[in-house]
Amino acid sequence: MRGILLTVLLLALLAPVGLLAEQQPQVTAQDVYDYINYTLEVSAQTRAVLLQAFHKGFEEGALAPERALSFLRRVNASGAPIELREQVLLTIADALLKSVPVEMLLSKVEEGLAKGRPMDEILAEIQERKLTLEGVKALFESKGFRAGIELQIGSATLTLSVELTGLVITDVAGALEDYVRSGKDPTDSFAVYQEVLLRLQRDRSIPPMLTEWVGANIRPEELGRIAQEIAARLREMR
Amino acid sequence: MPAKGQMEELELLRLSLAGDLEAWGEIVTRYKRAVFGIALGVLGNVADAEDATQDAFIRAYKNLRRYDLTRRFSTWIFTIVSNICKNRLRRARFSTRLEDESQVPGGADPAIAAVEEERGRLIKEALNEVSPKYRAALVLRYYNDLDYKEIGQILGLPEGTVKTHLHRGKAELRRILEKKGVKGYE
Amino acid sequence: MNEPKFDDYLREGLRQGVEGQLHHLEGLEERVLEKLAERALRRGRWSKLWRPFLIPVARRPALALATTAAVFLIIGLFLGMGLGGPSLGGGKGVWFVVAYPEAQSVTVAGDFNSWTDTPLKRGKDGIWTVRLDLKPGRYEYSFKINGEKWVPDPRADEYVKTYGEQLNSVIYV
Repeated sequence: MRGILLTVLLLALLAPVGLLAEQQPQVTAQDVYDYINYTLEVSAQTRAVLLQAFHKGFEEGALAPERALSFLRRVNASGAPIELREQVLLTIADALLKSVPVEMLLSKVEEGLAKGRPMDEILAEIQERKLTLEGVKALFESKGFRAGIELQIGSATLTLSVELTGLVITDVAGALEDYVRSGKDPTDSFAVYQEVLLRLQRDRSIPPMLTEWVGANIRPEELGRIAQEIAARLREMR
Repeated sequence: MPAKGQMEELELLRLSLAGDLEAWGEIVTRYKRAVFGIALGVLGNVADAEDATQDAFIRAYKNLRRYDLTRRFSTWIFTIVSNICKNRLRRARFSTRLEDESQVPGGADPAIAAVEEERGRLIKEALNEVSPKYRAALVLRYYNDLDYKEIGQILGLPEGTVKTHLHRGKAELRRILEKKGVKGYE
Repeated sequence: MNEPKFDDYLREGLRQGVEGQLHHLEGLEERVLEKLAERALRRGRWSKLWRPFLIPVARRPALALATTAAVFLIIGLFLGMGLGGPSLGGGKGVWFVVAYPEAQSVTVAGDFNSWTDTPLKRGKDGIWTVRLDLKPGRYEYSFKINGEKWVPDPRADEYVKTYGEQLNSVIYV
């Protein structure tokens, strides 16, 4: 009994030491470019677009090289027809070039691959979600919501980072997609608006000030319009 | 949040796991008829069936963390009530007890007799005379409309045995009904 | 007029037989919930967990040592986050727990690990657990049983539809 207790005690004291040993090699942007240039199976034309898009993404801080590299490796190893793989990568590239947040798209591709979904279904899924992200981004930008600006909320100000704008747009777009996909009524703008605010409120990576800003500056019918567009597109897909 | 009456089963089970008793109440509402049907069919006695039904929902809640999501919830709760009934029948064999006449199916209570349709009363009465080991399969098949595979999962029997139980149970039931002079089927 | 087949006769008869008795089920929900509530009150949900600490420490030297070890263990976990599972950096420890007594393996995949498999460890009674270190945020995920079947987490904060009719679980950290 005492032996066990002493072991537990020792382990507890040694736990922080383990952390020091856990150093990961840093992936650089150059590693990603090298991978696109020399390993990724794509046409020369696609390669050029990808290089440009990922360069822009890294410059803007839209994603980390490590994340990009693991994603590209995953798609490359998927065994799907090359044209479909290229289309998936070009969809991501287009998002990066338009400064649309890509985290949700990357995740949906990875999820689809993990679950063994066919690549054409994965492509359709991210094309649909990309349109929603674009719609939300355009709406928010029309209200002056963009990275680098200072938002005035009550007496406080908040400087918007690329990461924060990306998180907000992703959450709003995700809430709209999930709302429609769950079969709820997209014409009920107020319910749509509530769903969006609830998502922002529950996500602790979003400062409450920003949720407040969205509540005050984005109108229910504006979100309802995007929800109805999603519903129309999903009907067509089925 | 939607009203509990419109919630998906999984959501209700999740809330129940988190300690939301009201959500569990909704699960009881959804499954009580099916569970009670099994208990009544197997035990043949309303008071016992009611007890077994209540017991099944209490036990299921206590063991909710062991519920295997790869199985249907209905299969799980039906397994629980079937086991409760099996144990009760086993215990009853060792303790002869006098039953309240009004609780016996087809007994003397005119109020109960009046609400029952004749055929229902006769079947229930006849079922009570079928060997207990065949009753559960008959009820799961003909009241709960389950297939052989699911009945097998619930009773812990191979599909072949389920078929045998159904076949023999039905033959017994036919004989009993004939003896009572019941006709009206092919 | 044709007489019904014996199967249909039986089906209809059982339905009528049970339906005639359904009035006995009135109030069943309340009775079940009352019993469960009574039981919870009687036991006190955490009483079992706390009971050892209510015994004077001086009379239980082994327990005193165990308590000290536990405190150090907790401190160690907070500092190192190194004992429970893969560290995903800078976040808080989140336990994923699911009961699958019959499973051979259970893994979890989600937004937090780029949808790769993180294995859960089998404990007593077929309870599988893993502790992940997650930053605040919203994560979609799913459990995978025996390397093939995707199932939602009954303890998730919410569920969303993904890839058609499949469900993803959602956790807010």
